[in-house]
Amino acid sequence: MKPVMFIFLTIASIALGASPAARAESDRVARAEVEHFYADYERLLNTDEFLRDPAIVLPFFDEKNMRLFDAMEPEQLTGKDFSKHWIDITLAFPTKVTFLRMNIHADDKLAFVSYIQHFVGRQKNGPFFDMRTPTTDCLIKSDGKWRIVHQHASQPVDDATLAAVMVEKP
Amino acid sequence: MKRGAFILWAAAGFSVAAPVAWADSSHYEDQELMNFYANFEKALDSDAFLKDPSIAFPFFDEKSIRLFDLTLPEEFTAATFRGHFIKARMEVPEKIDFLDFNIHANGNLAFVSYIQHVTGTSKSGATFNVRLRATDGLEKIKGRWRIVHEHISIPLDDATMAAQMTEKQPDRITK
Repeated sequence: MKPVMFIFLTIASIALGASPAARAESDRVARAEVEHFYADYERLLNTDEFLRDPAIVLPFFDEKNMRLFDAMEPEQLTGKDFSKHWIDITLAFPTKVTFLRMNIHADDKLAFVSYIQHFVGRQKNGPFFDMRTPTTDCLIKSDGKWRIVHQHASQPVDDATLAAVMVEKP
Repeated sequence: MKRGAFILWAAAGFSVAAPVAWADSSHYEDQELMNFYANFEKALDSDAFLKDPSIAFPFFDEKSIRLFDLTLPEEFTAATFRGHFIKARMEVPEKIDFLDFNIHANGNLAFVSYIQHVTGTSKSGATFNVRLRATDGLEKIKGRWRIVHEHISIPLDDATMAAQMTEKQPDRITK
């Protein structure tokens, strides 16, 4: 191949890489990667190994940059406070979880995902619970791996009483 | 300049310029989003908004919006978002400040987490002072940023499992 032709093809491939079709394909691949990420994440959360050692799920998060808005107080948790909270809450609420109605927006570097986490279990030495928790996650792809950098989980409250409703039928 | 040399020069220029443009675009998008939220906050604080909350709709993509709000139901979508938004804002005229922003943007996608500090008096006369956690997912559609997903919540009290929205709440704020 002549050098001029090689350079021309290089430029053309760069230009094509930025085309709407190429971007759509790249976004489709990113969404598939994120779907795969959540299948692995959900599977791990439901293992006996996770209930023994909740820290095994921490590689799904970017602990250093993490910002958590959790359903319970405090207002927010970051960094190591996030990791400690995550482990404490899992040990207190050993549970099975199912991810429902997932909605993924993703490109080659960022993603945000909204879904319902359906928790069913028994609080340690406490009552049975059945809880649907609206959740929003924000992810960044770094060194070829997706990580959650922000998670927002909440418990919608009753309009009149402002109390959390632990079971709501969809 | 010979044709081959011109192509080589153009290719070199592109390969040098591309990473610079990439790095700058992130900063540029952050700035766009700061402007977006400054305008959004201004709109929510205006007298015009108190008279007609629908002036805030251009900040959202109503066609694809998904809202996880403070109160039930579990979620609002295109069919229910508009009615809920207007009803909620008409019941509780408010002053709102956006605080503690964290913005991530890339190309046509962004997510933003922040605190909405809301104060006001409801139509029934109760005063409230509350810090809401907000997470927004945005897409750039036809050159303009739009919120396609919003999640608003207040942390529940450990003991009562209820949301505290009264004047007492600032004492328990995590700074």
